[in-house]
This record gives sequence, structure tokens and C-alpha cells, in this order.
Amino acid sequence: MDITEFLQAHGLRPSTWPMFADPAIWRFFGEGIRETLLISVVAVAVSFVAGLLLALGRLSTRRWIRWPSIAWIESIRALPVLLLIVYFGIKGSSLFRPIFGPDFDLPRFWAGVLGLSMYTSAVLAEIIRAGILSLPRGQTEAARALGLSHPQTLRHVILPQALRLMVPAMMAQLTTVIKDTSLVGTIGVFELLRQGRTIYTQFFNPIEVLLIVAFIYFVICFVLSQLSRRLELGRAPRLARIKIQEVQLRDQAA
Amino acid sequence: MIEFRDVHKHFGQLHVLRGIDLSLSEREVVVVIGPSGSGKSTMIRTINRLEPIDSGSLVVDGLRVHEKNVDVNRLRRDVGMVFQSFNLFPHLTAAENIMLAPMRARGLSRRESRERAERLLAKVGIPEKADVHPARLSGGQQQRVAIARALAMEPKIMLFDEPTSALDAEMIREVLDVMRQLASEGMTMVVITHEVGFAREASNRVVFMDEGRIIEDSPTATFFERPREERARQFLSKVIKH
Ligand SMILES: Nc1ncnc2c1ncn2[C@@H]1O[C@H](COP(=O)(O)OP(=O)(O)OP(=O)(O)O)[C@@H](O)[C@H]1O
Ligand SMILES: [Mg+2]
Repeated sequence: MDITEFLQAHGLRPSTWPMFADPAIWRFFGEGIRETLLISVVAVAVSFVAGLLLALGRLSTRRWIRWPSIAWIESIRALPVLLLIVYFGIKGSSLFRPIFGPDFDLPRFWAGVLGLSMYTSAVLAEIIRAGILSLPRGQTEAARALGLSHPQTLRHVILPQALRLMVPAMMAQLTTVIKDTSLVGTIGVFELLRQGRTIYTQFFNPIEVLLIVAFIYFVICFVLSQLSRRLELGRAPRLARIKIQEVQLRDQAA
Repeated sequence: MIEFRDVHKHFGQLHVLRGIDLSLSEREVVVVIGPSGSGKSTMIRTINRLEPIDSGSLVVDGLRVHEKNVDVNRLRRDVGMVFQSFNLFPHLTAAENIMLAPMRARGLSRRESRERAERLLAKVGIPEKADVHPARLSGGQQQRVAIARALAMEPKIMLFDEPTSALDAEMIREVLDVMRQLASEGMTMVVITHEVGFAREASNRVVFMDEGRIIEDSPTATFFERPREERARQFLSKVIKH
């Protein structure tokens, strides 16, 4: 059996490769890439704000803020992202009708963003909390001893340092979100993988298409991880980074 | 200016302060010494309420510090504190470290705060370091920035918790010089230190603590010439030998 026969026997039909020379196909992939990146960036932005609030809530000294924050973070983290996405895909519109009126229809894009953000914000909350806890206690003490209030201390002393330490972890999370956008294809958002599926169901060439899609995901994530390594080397002192990992480990053990 | 009356404090089961009575008048400089774990840091930290107390009363500059309705941030603006480990904010330059509290807690403009920072950096002898981050300063320079940072709030009282323990011999001198000058300008100071030279020259009184109690409180000269307490005597002979 020569290699061509082998490939044909396993579904890799060389005859479909030439179609990828057509720019139209790449415009089609391009739309998918754009949707994937857009949804990731929006989801991460939303998650960052929500995650910051959740992290501060969990660190609050007031029980009636802390306990609900813990419960929320822990239960959301225990759910599959896909479940959340499907939920907003189905129920999203009726959820917002009390606010936006009876005719409101939640665009699928936003249903996807909500599902992804809900999960990602809970994860980011933990990353942010670890970053805050990794700072020496003396930082807070020095700020408070100067007469800065608790919010001022957070704003000007704690968060600027903690966020800097968290850049690598956040970038890693962005990579995860990019890959997870493939799940919003299930509720009809035309992201990269969904575009691929449309192509291969037309041309019966899933192996070729999936190879290409895989390669595109790889390139995006690789570029991001290189970027984050640059940032990381430039910023966070090594010692502080190790501490973040320790906090995460401690949390997992607890 | 500062008045402790029968102050007690526990950390869980541990009874750390066992009835502290101490009073300081304005412009007084008191040095606190005593063995490790005797409660010196805890005591000094109750003065600006970094540590709460369990019972007794503590009045600082007319404010009953540990009462619920006290505006603790207002109190702290008038009480500067310098730590053993400097605790400078590493993401800010020396000048920005000094400017932060005047801008945020006193409402000074950026320009006014910057002028104040430059004046204070000159006062502590490192005017050229204004735009340098703490990581690029020596320990002694960092501690002098920390002192300038506390002074920028124009406090009425300065608290020092072993300000030179983390420093090498040469740097200890630079920091003690600044503190001596501060004392001579009439600042009210509580200083935890084992620097006998500084205590002798710059302080009015020495307080010796052991096991959560003040067991000797004497004028500086008396304390060093003929300490009343045996434990203080033993401690002194150890410290001075080094
Ligand atoms: N946050 C805390 N929680 C529990 N115990 C504490 C805490 N801070 C201090 N202690 C304990 O209280 C006691 C007094 O501590 P403190 O730091 O006041 O002593 P110190 O006289 O300053 O000692 P040193 O010379 O070592 O600095 C020690 O036994 C210490 O272990
Ligand atoms: Mg101490």
C-alpha cells in the first residue's frame, strides 16, 4: 500500500486540498476567526470586571458580602461551560425581557458571551484573589498607617501590584477562553470551528478542514503565549510569581 | 499626647499585653526595649490601631483610639509609622511613594505634593533619588524614603518599629542621623530599637518591656547608669556587648 492509498483509506482525500487555494474559503474562515477573537475579547473584558468584583467580595470582611461571593464562585466553577452557554442560548431572551421589554431577543453572540463570562469571571476571581493575597501584608499596613482608606489602599497600592503579577495567568486564561469559544458554535454563533463544520459538511472533507482549523487555533494561542512570556519576563519578579502558584495550590488543597 | 491605661491584648490564648500603663507628653522621645516576643511591636501598633485592644483605654492626641466611632483614618494621618521592613510601594518611585498619601488622604495637589516630596527627600539626604524605584535603592535609602513618606503627612507623632534592624552598619548610621535630627526638632517619637547609642543621645526615657508588661520606665540617663530592674540590667549587658 503506498501512502496515497493509505491516506485515501483513512479519509484524507488529496483531491480536496486544491479547494483551499480559493480565497473565498479563506474569507469564510476569516469570518470565523473574527467572531472567535471578538467573542473572546468581549468575554474576557466582561469577566475581568466581574471577576474583580467577585474577588473583592470574597476578600471582604463583611460576612454578608463574603459568603455569597464564595458560594457563587465555587458553584459556577463546578459547572461545565457548555451548560452555561446552552442555558443562555435557550433562556437568555426571556431572562432579559423584564428589563428590555417583551420583544427583546438576546443576540446569540451575547448569549455566548454571557455563558463564557459567567464561568471565566469565577476563574478570574480566584486568580485575582491569589494575586492580592500574594502581596506582603506590610503593603496594606503601610498604606493604612498613612491614613489611606481601605478602598484607596486597594486602588492605589494593592491592585496595581496584584494586577501586574497576574498578567501571565490572565493571558493563559485568555487562551482557554479562545478555545472555549468553539462551544458557542452549538448555539449558532459562527465562530471558527462552526465555520469549519459548515465547510466540511458541504465538501465531505472533515479531516482537511479540522487540520486547518486546528492549525489556526494553534497559531492564535501560540502567538498569545509568546506575547505573555514577553510581558511576564518584563514585569513580574520571579519570587512574586512563585507565590501566586503557592496560593493556588493551597486553595486546591483546602 | 499618648496615654495607655491598663491596656490588655490577646492573640487567641496568648496574653500579649498584660496591663500597659504609659504616658508620653508632646515632644518626648521614648525608646522601647525588651526581649523578642515581649510585646513591643504589638504595643506600638495599638497606638495607630493597626492592632485592636481587648480592654483598658488608649488616648492619642485627645482621641480615644479604640472606640467604635473614632475616624481611624483621621487618627492615622497624624501618626506616622516606620517599619523594620520599610514597606515602600515597589510600583511607585521614591517621590510617588511620598506623594501618595498627601494627595489621596490630605487632598493636596500633585504639584504641592511633589514639592513636599522633594523637600523631604532633601531633608533625609537623598534629593537625587526622587524618580528612582525602591528596588534600585539601598536598604538605608529605602528606610529614609519611608521616613520621608511618613513625614509627608505632617504627623504629630512618629512610631518606629526597629527601623534599623534590617540594615548593615553603615546604613544604620544614615537612618539614625535622620531620626536624631527629627528628635531634636521636637517630634514626639516612640522608637523600638536596640541601638543604645541612639537611645542615650536622642531619647528622654527608656521603657523596658518583658512578657507583656512594662517593668521599667526611667529617664534615659538613669536607665543606663543604674537600671532598677535585674532583668533590664541583664538585658542591657547583653545588648551593649554586641
Ligand atoms: N498577628 C499575630 N497573631 C498571633 N500572635 C502574634 C501576632 N503578632 C505577634 N504575635 C505574638 O505576640 C507576641 C508578642 O509579639 P511582638 O511582635 O509584639 O513582640 P516584640 O517584642 O515586638 O518581639 P520582636 O523583638 O521579636 O519584634 C509574640 O509571642 C508573637 O509571637
Ligand atoms: Mg517586634
